[in-house]
Amino acid sequence: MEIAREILDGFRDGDSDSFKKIYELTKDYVSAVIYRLCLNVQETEDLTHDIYVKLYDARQKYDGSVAFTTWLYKIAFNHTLNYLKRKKYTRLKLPFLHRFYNLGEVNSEQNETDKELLATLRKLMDNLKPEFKMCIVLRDVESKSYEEIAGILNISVGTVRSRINRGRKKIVELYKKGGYDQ
Amino acid sequence: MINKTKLENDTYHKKVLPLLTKVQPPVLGDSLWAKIESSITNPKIEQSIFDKIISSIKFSFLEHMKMLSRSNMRVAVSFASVALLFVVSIFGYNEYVMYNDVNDYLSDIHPVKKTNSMDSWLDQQVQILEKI
Repeated sequence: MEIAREILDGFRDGDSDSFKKIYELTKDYVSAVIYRLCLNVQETEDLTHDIYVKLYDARQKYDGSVAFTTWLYKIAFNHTLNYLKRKKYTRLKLPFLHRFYNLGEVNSEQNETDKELLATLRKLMDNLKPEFKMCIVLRDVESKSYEEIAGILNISVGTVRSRINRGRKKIVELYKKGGYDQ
Repeated sequence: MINKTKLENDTYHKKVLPLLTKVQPPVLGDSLWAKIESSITNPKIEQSIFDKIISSIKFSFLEHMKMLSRSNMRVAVSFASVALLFVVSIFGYNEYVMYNDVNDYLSDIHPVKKTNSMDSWLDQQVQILEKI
């Protein structure tokens, strides 16, 4: 996705309309990836909010060496990755805090099929390392190339391949273990 | 080995991946843009000082807990116990000194037999007050 030069210039100068245009153009993609990783509407909204505020604060730092969307995804997905790591940590090590903040609750407005699907997915995804989860969603759901993922997450292509392979193996193992294979 | 890998790949692509792609992401409403806009135009209004303190305590607590490995945790707990014992000792000693000071002061005014028992000390004080 290309963002026009004048929009980018306006955004860098702090123009709110240009920022809104960027938000309108990119929010669906960003929030879709975040949702597939968190599987929670409230968390998706909160993370999207934080990411765009962070993006606005960092607008002067964009030097144009990479495509603007790559830079945006870098901020967005690394922020999400940090959040997921923290969430996994609280779930495993500080379960009382996890329960207190109600992380991972199914939303009441969803219908039964969605709830069932989300519950299954959550059981699979919650036990996966956030790094594996991120690589799997970017590669298998969003169809990003290995090179693009490596660029976004600031890791080598080899690491991306290894994370995807290990993540797939782990998720299949969890799928079979959970008895969903019948 | 090859068959096992192929089987895993098949399970992944035919059963697990469709679950992931089936999930429908939510459509974000205009209210989110309003929230973002208010955060970038009024960053101070968006988060009160109280919220900032709470969130910084929350995050520093989590970050510190993250840094502590299991063995470090034991050291931290021992250190905290020693610190607590120290504080309790200081407090106890202060109370003891104060009790003695008051006892000495009252004994100076109305000399009575000094005692270490709290009950008899109280009895003595009651007697003194009755005399007054």
